Amino acid sequence: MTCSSPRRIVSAFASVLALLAFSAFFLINQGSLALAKEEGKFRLGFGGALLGNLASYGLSNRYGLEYAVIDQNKKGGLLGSQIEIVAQDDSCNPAQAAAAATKLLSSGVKFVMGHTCSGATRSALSAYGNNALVISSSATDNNLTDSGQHPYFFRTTPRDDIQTKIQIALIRKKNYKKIAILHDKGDYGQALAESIRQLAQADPGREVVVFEGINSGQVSFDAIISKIKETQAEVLVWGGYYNDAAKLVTQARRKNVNVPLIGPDGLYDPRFIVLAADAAEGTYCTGQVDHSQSALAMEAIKDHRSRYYTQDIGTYFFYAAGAAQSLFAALETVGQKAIDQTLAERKAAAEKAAKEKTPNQPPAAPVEPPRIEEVNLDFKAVKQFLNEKVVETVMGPVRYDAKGDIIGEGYKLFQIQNGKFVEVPMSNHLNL
Amino acid sequence: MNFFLELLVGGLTKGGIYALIALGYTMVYGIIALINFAHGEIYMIGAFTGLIASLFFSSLGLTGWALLALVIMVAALWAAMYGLTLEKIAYAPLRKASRLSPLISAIGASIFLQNFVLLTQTPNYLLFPDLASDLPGLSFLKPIAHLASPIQVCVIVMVALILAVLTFILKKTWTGLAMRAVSQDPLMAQLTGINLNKVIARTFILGSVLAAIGGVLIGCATRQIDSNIGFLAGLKAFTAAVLGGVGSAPGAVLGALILGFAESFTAGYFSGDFEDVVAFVLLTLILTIKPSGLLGQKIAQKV
Amino acid sequence: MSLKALKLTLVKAWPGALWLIIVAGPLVILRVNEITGRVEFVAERVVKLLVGAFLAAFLWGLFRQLSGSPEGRKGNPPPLKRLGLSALIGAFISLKVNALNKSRLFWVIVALCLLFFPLMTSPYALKVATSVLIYIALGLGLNVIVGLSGLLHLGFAAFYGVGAYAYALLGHYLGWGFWVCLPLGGLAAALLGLALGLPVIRLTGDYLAIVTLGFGEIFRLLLTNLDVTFGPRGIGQIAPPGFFGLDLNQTFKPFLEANIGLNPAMDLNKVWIYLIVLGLVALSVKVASRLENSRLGRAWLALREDEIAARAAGVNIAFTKLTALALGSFFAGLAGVIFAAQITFINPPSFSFMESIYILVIVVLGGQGSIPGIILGATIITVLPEFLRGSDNYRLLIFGGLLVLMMVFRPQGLLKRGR
Repeated sequence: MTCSSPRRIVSAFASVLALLAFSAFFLINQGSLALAKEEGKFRLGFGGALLGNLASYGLSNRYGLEYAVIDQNKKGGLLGSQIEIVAQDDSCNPAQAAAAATKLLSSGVKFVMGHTCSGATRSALSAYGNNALVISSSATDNNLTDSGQHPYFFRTTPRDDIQTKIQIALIRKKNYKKIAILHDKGDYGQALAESIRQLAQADPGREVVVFEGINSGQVSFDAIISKIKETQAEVLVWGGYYNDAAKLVTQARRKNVNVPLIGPDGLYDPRFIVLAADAAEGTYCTGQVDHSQSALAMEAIKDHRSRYYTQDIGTYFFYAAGAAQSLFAALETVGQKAIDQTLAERKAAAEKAAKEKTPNQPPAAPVEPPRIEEVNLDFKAVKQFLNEKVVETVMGPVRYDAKGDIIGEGYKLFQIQNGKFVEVPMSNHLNL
Repeated sequence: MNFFLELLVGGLTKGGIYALIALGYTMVYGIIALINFAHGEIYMIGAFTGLIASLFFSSLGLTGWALLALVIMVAALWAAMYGLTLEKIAYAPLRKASRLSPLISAIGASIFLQNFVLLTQTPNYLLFPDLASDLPGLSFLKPIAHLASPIQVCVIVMVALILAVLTFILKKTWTGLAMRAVSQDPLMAQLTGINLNKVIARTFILGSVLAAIGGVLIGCATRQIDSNIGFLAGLKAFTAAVLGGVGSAPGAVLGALILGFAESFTAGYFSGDFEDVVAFVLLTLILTIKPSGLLGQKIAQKV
Repeated sequence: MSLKALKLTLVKAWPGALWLIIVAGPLVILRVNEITGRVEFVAERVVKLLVGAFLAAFLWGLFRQLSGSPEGRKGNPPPLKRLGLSALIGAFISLKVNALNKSRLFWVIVALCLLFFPLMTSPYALKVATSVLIYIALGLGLNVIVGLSGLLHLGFAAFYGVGAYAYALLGHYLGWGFWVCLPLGGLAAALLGLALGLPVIRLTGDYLAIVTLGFGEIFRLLLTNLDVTFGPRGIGQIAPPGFFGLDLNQTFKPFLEANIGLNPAMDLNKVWIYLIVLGLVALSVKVASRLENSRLGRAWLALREDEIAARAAGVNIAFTKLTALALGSFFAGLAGVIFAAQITFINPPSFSFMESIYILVIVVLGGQGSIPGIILGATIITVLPEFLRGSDNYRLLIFGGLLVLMMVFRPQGLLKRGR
């Protein structure tokens, strides 16, 4: 063993040094993070997809948040403190979302707007625990609020089950008996597909003839299209995003399979029409309610354009802005109380010190009220506010129920006609 | 019966697509025994260049066969240049290194190219025009459109054509002879006066041209491209190439077709959930029975 | 390097730059608009293209000059061999090791630094440190298979996933705790390694690679498609490892926060996981370095160098291959259990093909088959992307480019294997 032992020592030594170098890097990194904390700023977290192929959704959230923050800062910020956004990308990937969440917590963030996708949100919530209050403006999975595991999670986007209720109503109205359901094996798509399957199977006389996941990004969906034809399905319900749906419907029409397609809000995107072109005609999909018509909203769009004149506001702009504005309202109320309380405590302490003061000590400085970022903001109080008070925001009045879901926000049904999304009025045709 | 026929044709067209990429893969693989992870990325770059070329030329008013041919030519030219650059930067310096180093280098190149296109073009999906949908002279295919569209027929014809051309190059030309010599024993080949670098460069050019042809035709068939398509394509092509036997062009086609049929029939008769599972189980079984692939030669090991 | 040579490099860079401009040009300056479907000319990228191409060509030439022509490296030693990172590492190694080793104090300080690291830092840094340690364990496992035995394995993430899912599922369905699941996860992975090994004993080289790849994909697809594993949704709320039945955060946190200045956002469960994985890695390093010089280790090396010769020398090939696969997978299973406990939420994409590739990169990048190499590789692969987080969109681009450069300029890995 004599010949090998020096090498082993070298090995062990080098390993340890590598680790030390690494830890040193992080200690330094931490130092710089601490320095970056400016005085008089309230740090608000943002987590979501800013990169990757779902980045357009994340950016839409981000733009909405940015508008709300800039607007609030113009009005003087949160009780005198300017708001600063601390953003972390998660690329809609659960593992990265957990990392992003930990990083946000590490940088001293207590309130987070996010995340973009349901799967990433679930993973991030796990990482936040009860250390942050989170409001998402685009995570739609029912389970996020239904599970009851995350008391400090809220969302301004309507949930998946509202979409599937609309879809099943359409299916009942058209009286489709044989239904094919496909999904992309993703978190978002499969949850929707399973939800619609349950609803369809509950109906007497209705049959789900195909229920399958397809591999996203496949070069050819011919086999599954042949199967839809073979089973004589009357309608195809899709759970997933627009890209695979466009491929699927293009290839189906090419093979003369003309069953109508019903999709979720993942298809409510102009890019679906671009990608599917003629094949998109007649497709039904659920989509978000248009919030852009109010005077407040138009102001917001104008403001956004002045900053990013080339970037579209995207789907979630108003949900994100509304989420942020409801949080600001809650923080102003709760923050004021916390500040008053801390001030009272400090004054009491100062008086006590003054009493015990010996004559030759210099006079004590006057007691300053603390800033909002210095006081401890009670999540329970914020939650109570969000549950009880209606906040007027750019997306309309916002209030959340006890589970954290927004009250009174829904989806609409659209059909693609002549290359445009045309709203199908539901109250007349559909029994909801 | 009709359903069976549809699945059969579906499997054939899907296998044809895999074969188109696998042929280029197995070329490089056969000559320098490198798992070229970046081959899928060359295919993707071929598709993007092809898309830009097709939009440009069709705006000039070009249509039909001329457009398709020109687009393929431009895509092939640029893909060849990318392939050559890749070879010179990422692989040539590693010719004497252990087998794993070029593999990691290839992975790095693959990540780099994928993100290069993502940054310069778009992270989203782009519509690819179907250049073969109304080619003059292909109207006789209309009656079987419910089985296979013209572009799918084009893909299969192209696979046969490439297979023939490749066999010709490898068997009948001097370059092909040199390539085979290099694949058998690079050192010995150099001794006989073959310029190793030149032969490998030609192999990469040929492989990249094939990838670009695949990029354009498959783009037409799927109607959608993004910077990510190379990854899945590379994975499937690699699988097909190994299944058929490393370095064997007919083997790659056979492997690709088996893969296509397996996926098509699984999706048709069982469930789309499990099509890839069945394909990979089949792969494992075949390789267990025939450890050097279906048409691969059992090379006598040097002792 | 003289000024003249530098000038020459500058001049020589022109053809290369021109070539890069022609090759990369179209994709850089022409962009397809995804909505209108038209090709747009992006004028502001022209300058970037010109400067970037020239800079890339110049730096490439410079590096090649400094490191000597990579092709002819073996013949005559280059003037300046070690560059940047490798210079740093070279300096580390050439330090007077023996003198330091004799002082026990040094080692005690190192151990204390690592042990008390969590108290000094933030949750985020701790998370990254834990990831590094997990990847070291994974790298050590894969090293037994790839580095020592020379079996190219492209589906290693599956075994990692087995450990993670074993803990998550056993915890979810049966309520079993971390300490029971840790050995079980390792064993499950080892058994699966054997199950994979049996059919592939006859396979060599790339045929083995593709089967392992297929195996990894099958595993991931099953996780996605089966209901038992909750499909793509994954499993959340995975319990942290127990500590004698105490709630760590309630029991110790107030004390540590008040007296040592612990970061208030720190979760003590994560600190406990860090300490567990630190201990495990220390143990693994010890085991792995012993194994290398054992009878079995030498059999693996013989297998890697020449299977036929090994057989002729009386090595039982099947047994040797199977032990390598089982042992390597065992490490991965352990790492998987800890990963699940740390991240508390797992889903199939965490164990994809790319994950296998990353682990392979760890083994090769640092220096094939050497333990310090793996530690270095794991650190680079985990910290580099985090470090590049600031440069947003360019993160993966730079990462991929650096992988190529590291391989081209240090083909044998950053740390050379001592053997």
